[in-house]
Amino acid sequence: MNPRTSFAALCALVLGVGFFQARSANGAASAALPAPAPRSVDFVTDIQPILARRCLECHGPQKQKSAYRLDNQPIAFRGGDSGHAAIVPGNSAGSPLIRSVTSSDRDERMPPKGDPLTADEVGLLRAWIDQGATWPESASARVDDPRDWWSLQPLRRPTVPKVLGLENGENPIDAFVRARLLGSGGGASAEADRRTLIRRVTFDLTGLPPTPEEVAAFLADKDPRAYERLVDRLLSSPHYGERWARTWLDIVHYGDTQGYDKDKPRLNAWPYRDYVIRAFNEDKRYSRFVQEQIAGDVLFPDTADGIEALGFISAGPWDFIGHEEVPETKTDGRIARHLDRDDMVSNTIGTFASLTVHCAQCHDHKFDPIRQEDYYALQSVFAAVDRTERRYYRDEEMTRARSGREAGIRAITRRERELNDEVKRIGGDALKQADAKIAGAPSAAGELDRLRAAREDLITSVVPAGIRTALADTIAASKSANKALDAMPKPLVVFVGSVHHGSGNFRGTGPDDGRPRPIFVLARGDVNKPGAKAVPAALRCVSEVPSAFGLPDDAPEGQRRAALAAWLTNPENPLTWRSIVNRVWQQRFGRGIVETPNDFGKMGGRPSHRDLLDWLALEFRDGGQSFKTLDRLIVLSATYRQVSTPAGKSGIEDGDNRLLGHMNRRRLDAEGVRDTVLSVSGQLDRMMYGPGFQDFVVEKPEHSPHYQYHLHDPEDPKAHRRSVYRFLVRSQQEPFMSALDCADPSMRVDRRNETLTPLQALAMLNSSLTVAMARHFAERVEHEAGTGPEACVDRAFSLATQRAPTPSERAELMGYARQHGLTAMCRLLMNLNEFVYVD
Amino acid sequence: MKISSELTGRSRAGTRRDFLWRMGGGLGGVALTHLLGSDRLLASDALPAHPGFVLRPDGGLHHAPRAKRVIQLFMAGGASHLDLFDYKPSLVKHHGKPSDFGEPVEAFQDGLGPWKAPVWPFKPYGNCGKLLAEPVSALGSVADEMAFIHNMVSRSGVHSAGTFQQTTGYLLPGYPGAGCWVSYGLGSLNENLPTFVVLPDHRGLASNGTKNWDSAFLPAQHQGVSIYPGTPRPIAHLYPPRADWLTEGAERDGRDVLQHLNRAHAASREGDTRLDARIRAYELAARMQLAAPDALDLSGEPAHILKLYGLDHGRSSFDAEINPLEETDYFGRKCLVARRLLERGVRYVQVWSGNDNGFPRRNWDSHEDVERDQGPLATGMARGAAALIQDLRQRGLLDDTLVIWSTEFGRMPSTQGGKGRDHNPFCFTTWMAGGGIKGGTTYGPSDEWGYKPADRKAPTQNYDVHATMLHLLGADHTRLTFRHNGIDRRLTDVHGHVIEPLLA
Repeated sequence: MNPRTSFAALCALVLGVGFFQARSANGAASAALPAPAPRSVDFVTDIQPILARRCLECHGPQKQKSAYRLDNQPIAFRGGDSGHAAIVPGNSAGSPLIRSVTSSDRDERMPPKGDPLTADEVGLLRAWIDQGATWPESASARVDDPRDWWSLQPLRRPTVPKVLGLENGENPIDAFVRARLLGSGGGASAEADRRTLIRRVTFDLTGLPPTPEEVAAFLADKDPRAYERLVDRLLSSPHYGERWARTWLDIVHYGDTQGYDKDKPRLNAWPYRDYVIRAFNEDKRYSRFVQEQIAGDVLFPDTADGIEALGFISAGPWDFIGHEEVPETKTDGRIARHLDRDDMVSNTIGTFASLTVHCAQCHDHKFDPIRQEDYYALQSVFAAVDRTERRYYRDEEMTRARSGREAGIRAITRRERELNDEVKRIGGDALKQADAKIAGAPSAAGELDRLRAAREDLITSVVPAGIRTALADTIAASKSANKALDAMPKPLVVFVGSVHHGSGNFRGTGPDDGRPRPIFVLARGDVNKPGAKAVPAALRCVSEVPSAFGLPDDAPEGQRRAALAAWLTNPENPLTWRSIVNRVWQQRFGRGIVETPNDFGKMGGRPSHRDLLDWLALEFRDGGQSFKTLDRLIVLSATYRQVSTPAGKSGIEDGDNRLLGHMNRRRLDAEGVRDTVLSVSGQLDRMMYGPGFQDFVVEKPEHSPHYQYHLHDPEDPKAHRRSVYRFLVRSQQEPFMSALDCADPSMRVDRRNETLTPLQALAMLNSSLTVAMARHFAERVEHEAGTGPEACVDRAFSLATQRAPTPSERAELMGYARQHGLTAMCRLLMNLNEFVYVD
Repeated sequence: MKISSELTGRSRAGTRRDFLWRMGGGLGGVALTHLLGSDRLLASDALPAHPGFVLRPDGGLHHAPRAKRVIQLFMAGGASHLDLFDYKPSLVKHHGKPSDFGEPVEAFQDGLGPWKAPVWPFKPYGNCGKLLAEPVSALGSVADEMAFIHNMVSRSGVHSAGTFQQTTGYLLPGYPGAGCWVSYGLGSLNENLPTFVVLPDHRGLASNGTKNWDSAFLPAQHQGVSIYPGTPRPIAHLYPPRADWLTEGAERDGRDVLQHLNRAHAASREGDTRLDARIRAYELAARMQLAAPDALDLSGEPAHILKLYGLDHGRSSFDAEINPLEETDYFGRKCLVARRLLERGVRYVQVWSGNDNGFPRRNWDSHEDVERDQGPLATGMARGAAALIQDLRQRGLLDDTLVIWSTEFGRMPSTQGGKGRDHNPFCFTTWMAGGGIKGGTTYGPSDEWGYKPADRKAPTQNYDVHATMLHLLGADHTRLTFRHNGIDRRLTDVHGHVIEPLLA
């Protein structure tokens, strides 16, 4: 052990990592402890001087080795990087601090320099701890502990505020929001009218407009629970899952091509997209949803969901050339793989824990308590997997059978290779010459047969019969195993994050039985400057959940992912639950309680309603982890049902409406616009699931496919499905969707941009889709409303906006339609502000 | 204003209308001519790009600018510094002898052959005496305007990552192109045209496709807008597809109806500025329908200008094999369009040479045969680039227009066994000219072989080029930031130094 590593081990000891427990378990390093001092001990007079003399040089104001310090009470007690308490009041024998200063192992004992603490000193420390470890606040150094950050604090159930005018049993969301508003001198707004409500909630929960008939029925419904029944109908619509899935696919940066150079299509990514839609429609429990996406193959083996969900890991772009053409032995190959894992790590932690862990790639995180080692510990979780395909069936038994056969074939193939190597070794130069002759032989069949026969004779004469028989048996076994595999029904295929077994240029970890690649902490993120080997673990900054996985070195790679999934879904992990309810809130109000859903760190936003966030998190965690339940609670709240234009001045300065004194008006997202255009034109094909439709023509597919959107026929009915089924090209986005700020699948998108540009106006006016649909829209209206111009205008207007036109609107549109035709008028309706904005 | 008077003097309203309708019509285009008072069309008052950024009276963001606009010429696939700009006598001397780099070399493809002399002879040009190879000799006429950087290095020798590094500053997708940052920081000089325009190689997109100029996390108005001059729809959605009901009158009246209804809608929703902004976006769209075809119409260019750019060949078809005439036509045409865009106030124009590194090669990725590919490509490029620089100069625009010539990496001093060269990310050339650049400069020499920088400890990187570009535009690269996923992102990441010796 060199001095540096031994020092690191010493530091680890003070932190009371698993290491300490392991040592004490075998007893090797545990000596008998000096007895506690038999008197009352005072921290300031008895303890502080010992700490100052022997500890603070490395664990004090100047240095905090292993993020541990003994001049600040909370940190001294809580421990450093290990996440385990270092001082347990009332139990000195069980306090890692005492263990570390009394270890008999010179390499482990603290302090590392100089003599060990005297028995008297240890006795005082022990007595102090046993007597309750009182540490006056005045004697505790003030420190800005990065872990004293709101998002890392444990979840605690806040009291629902009592608000005048809100009866018991009313929606607690309103109590939290009103209390905050009232406290600022503001007030809530009135409830929106029913037409506004049905338009709002239908778009929100399904991404589609209500039909004029649905609006009429809702307006006529006298039942006081009419809105509630509307909400329940929408929550059970299959479009609910489609709507939510699109949001989820933004977050995980799902795409249907590889991206980067050449941007080859990824033809089997879509089963993951379908999995997400189904998960939301089935209201899958959130912890299960998370676990399946990180380690479904391990935790729920052979289930279709458990395999398809791994499309999460592979959702992002893949540098095909950097993997396929550049091996891991070259710097560029190592960079490509490093960045590939970085994408997996950032996606996982950003999506589920809302932390920007990728900032710790070159150095410790500058703002948040994430160490560089933490980052590489996470990289090692994904060190065995690549972006690759996996075969499976809906039926678990069949999937198991297939996996077994595939593994069998791999074993046979390996055996065959070994035996062939052995034959080559024994055959030596003579065999090499024979092979060379065969390779260079003329294609005349007779000559080739003769050379092959000669080669066989050579082998028979030199290779022992045992080996020859074994090889023949293996070849036969390989044939029959492959035959048995081929006899199975055609499997389903999904592109996922998994061990890659392929035999092409790109080599995954399959040939090594899925053994993870060794991961090192890279100095300044440089692949050519590996430092200490990383050990798979989760983040140490979450005090409530142990970060260490404690896995043996040879544990199967899937155990690492399973451990990370367990850490994320631990009920005590405050990030997970805050993160997801914030995302749900953002969907319904257009802005999260925290405005940066992917970043709950110091560079991110602060919660506008911290108590509400925690209340929602606990309600969600403990109430079945159901998206539908949470969505229902939100959209039934009076806060959600407010008008979006405040009546008069609210009396408070809240330009951004952070306090929700009224509802936020929202623009339809790109998918919402496109789906609505198709829907009002009567052309929307509601077929769910399956391979995505292509709204482009592919030219020159052999090298770098050219994705030619302008050549696509807008009348192609295959492309009239909902936008969530679009085939998403990374290198080139569809211009109409891109003009409307659709998510870029190369980038993790937690919030859509909302821009208003001339190019967007041109897209809305002139895209081949708008122009083609204007004609269908007009035909539909004529068909449904007859040829009377007034009826046509009214019908078209109500399809587009869910209301009747005012007399002046009607007059103007009728005049226009009379002169330029109904089709031209329908095109105008799809360009109205009211068409794309939801009050 | 010089330019506006030139335009109005031509009284092109009728021509514009004809052009517009020939191209398929546009919403209210004709009705909008009144909006297009030439002052508006060429409004030079910069619009703030971002509420947080306020430009100084001199047009700079943080300090006085030396340049107002940028044109970047990008050679996709890896142009050979050794055969074009960076003359190496040692390669001539040792041509054909086994290469010896004195250290292990990690090439992109394996198998480094013998040293290879430059394909073409070099001659000195200008007062500075810069040595240029025969295919790029057209640049000799502007050699005294140019500043060469011969010690560029890239972090990657893979096309995709290498191209990203030069275009966005990062190795992976998801970051805004340099032009997006310029648009974001400095805003528009003419609202009627996009702020950042890209003229892609019409034969196909290079590595990474449009990701090289995507706005990524920056708002969409900063995205590079692809323009394909001479095609029926040069900008996506600029005109609607043909339909019998889409008449001139329907477009004109429709614009008015739309505005009335939208104004009434906004009036009952007081305080939401987005509703007004959307109405304005439709007005700007109509103006763009007029301004864009005008900017792209080369038919009014005089003969001497067409000649300057090599567009006077009179040919309408070309040979099947790659040839200098065809390459000159393609690249020259894009350069001329670029000049028209720049003089109309487009902030950043990016011209691409080279498609997707496929075959037959219409790109700079000369693994097989440098002479066959880079001869015609470089001849065309040099003619267009030289014409552009001269043309800008004669119009007084070169003083505040920065020209940047880039490629993702260079090529190795040895062959790969045949007539080609492998990727060289360890050393390559970039050059700049125009606004604020000290012409006739050669900076940062490469080593004896052009294999690595002469001073390996002090190479030049894309970060430095970008920092210099922003500096000349009046922006401090360390302060032009946008927060995304927890990091205040910059074009220059955490790197970059202004290259002082290049500044005039």
